[in-house]
Amino acid sequence: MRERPEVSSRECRGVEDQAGPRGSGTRDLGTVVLGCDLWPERSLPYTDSCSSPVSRPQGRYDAAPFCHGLRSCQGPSDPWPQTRNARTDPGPIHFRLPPPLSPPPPAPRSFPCARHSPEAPQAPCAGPHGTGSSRLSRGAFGRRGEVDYNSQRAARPQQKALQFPGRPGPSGGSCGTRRPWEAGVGVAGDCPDGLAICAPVSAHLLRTPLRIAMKDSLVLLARVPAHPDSRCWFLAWNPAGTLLASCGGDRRVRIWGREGDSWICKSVLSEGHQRTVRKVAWSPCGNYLASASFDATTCIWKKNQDDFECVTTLEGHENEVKSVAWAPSGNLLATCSRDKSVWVWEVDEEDEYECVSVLNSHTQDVKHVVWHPSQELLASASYDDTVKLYREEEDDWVCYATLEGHESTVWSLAFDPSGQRLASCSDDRTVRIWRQYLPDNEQGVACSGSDPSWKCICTLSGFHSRTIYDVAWCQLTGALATACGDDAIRVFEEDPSSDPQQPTFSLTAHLPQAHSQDVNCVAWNPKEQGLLASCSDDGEVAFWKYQRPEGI
Amino acid sequence: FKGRTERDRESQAGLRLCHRFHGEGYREGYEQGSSLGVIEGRHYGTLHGARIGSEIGCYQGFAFAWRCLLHGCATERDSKKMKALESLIGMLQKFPYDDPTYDRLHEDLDRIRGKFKQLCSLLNVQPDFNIRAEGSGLSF
Repeated sequence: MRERPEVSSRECRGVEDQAGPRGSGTRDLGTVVLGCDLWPERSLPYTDSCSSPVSRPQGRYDAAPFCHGLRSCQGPSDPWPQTRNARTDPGPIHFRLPPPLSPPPPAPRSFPCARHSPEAPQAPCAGPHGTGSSRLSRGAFGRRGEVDYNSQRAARPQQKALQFPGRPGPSGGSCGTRRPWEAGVGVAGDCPDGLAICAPVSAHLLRTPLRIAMKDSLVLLARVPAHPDSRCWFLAWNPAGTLLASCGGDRRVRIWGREGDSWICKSVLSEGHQRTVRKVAWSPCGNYLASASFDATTCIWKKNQDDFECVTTLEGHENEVKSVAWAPSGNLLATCSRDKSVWVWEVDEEDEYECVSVLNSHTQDVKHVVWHPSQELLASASYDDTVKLYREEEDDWVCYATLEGHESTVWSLAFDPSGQRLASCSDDRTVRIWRQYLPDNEQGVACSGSDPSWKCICTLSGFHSRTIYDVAWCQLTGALATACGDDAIRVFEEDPSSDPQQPTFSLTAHLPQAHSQDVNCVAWNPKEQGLLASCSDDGEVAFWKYQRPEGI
Repeated sequence: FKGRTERDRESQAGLRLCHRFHGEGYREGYEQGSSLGVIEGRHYGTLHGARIGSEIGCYQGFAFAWRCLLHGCATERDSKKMKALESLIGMLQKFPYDDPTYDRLHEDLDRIRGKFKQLCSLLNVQPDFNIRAEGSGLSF
């Protein structure tokens, strides 16, 4: 990423590339954006100025909803009068959109990416930013003169940016999917003359008030360069909500605390890992922090006031540890790795960790592990496109359910506050909501034996234009936030009037350029309602205030 | 006119011969192919069976050796190790060595591998899982 020439602060994608690099910030909205952006949100000036929402040009914003999200329909209210450059502007672009309800093209997968492990099966890639193959990438040296797997970026197929986000996906279980045009995501019809793409009137009418309502739903509070010159992978709030741990490609964990209105770094945990730190997790008591690293170890840090001391290093995984999570009791810890296994560790009174089980249920790299908020149930997400659930049975842990439905890597999982539902997000650009059904349930969902069964009750498709890397379910309000590879943060809320068996979710906040690169993680503060932290490949951590828009 | 009938007769005979040889050739080829396939399948089975056998045997030897070493130790921590060890031995003994069509063969093998790794972790033994060109202790 950073190795390639810096033409702009953003990646060039799709049509934007045809006309040259897109500038950064609020000033450069000229030629390139014109007629290119399919996303109304992306083309609005306020979205480009998300980093400084205070300076948002109000007049421009007001005019935008009449534009159907497309610059090419110019009129008296067109806020971007003729600024086309005859040399660089490709002119009217003929969009060829597939029929509105057909499934979107499958999300490309398996391209070389540091998220997937270097040796993970990957397709060859000839993109401009890629290294061609994962094997070759092993020879590449990072800035620090060491082999740096993390500097290898995915050369994502350019057409990905052109795929229209406003169509519902294949959504096997889309019973509860709210159509994107109902929730402020642009929708377009096919126009024979190719000059203008018009949104259906109903969608337009629906969208306008929503857009106004959504305008201030997510406000930037602070932004800190948490891991400069590297990626910031993951964030974790301590249970008291006072400290935020961040980890990154610089092999460090940083602890952030609030002082006044700003967030300052309280500690840096630098000794401990030899390679990138991929995930961090606080123990339920808040006195311990676990960090999972690509060096195949998991470190347990003990908090002594503001200092942290590495008290244990858990070894056992054959290669990169991808995730770590504490059980709600604090007695169990789960880790997962590229070696396809999930390990469950038990902590005794003397802070000794013992492995109680090694689960080899997944057939590929395991990306994420998460515990049920109140029971000793463990869920894991994998590159094999499935989610697996585990429980203890006769002194051993067993996989009792496999949730199948995603069409590509499942990146992250989050339980709702009650633990009855589980949200999963994937490379297939959908979020799925799964619900637990106990044996002999009223709905008549079949269960095998005494094990509960899980069923997909809602698929949020069409909202995200790239891989969704993280999903977070606020334990206080029930709002669902997503971190996406299109640099955006989105927040969804369940419609209170919807059927609990087939819930519908509305997009209540969408910040298209929350970060300048892929957003890797979103984390709700466990104590302060609406306080959301996010981090990105750009190495920054941002703090947001989310407020549910009125009338939604 | 007569010559033409003669030629027809000859060509028909040639055709019959051709069919006959084609049929015979097919039959012979099929038999030979089947026999080669059986040999190849047997070879493949032997190879993979041996591989699984070698892996299972290694675990079994490891487990039996540690059972002897832990014998007589009675601390609480050792009892946990012993429990995992007995569990592994139980799984190894239940493994169906004579039924290659057992549908949960790989699932069971994965559980055995998991248990072995857990045991290694409990015993603080670091098995060498790295596969190198020259091979390793556990490159099954």
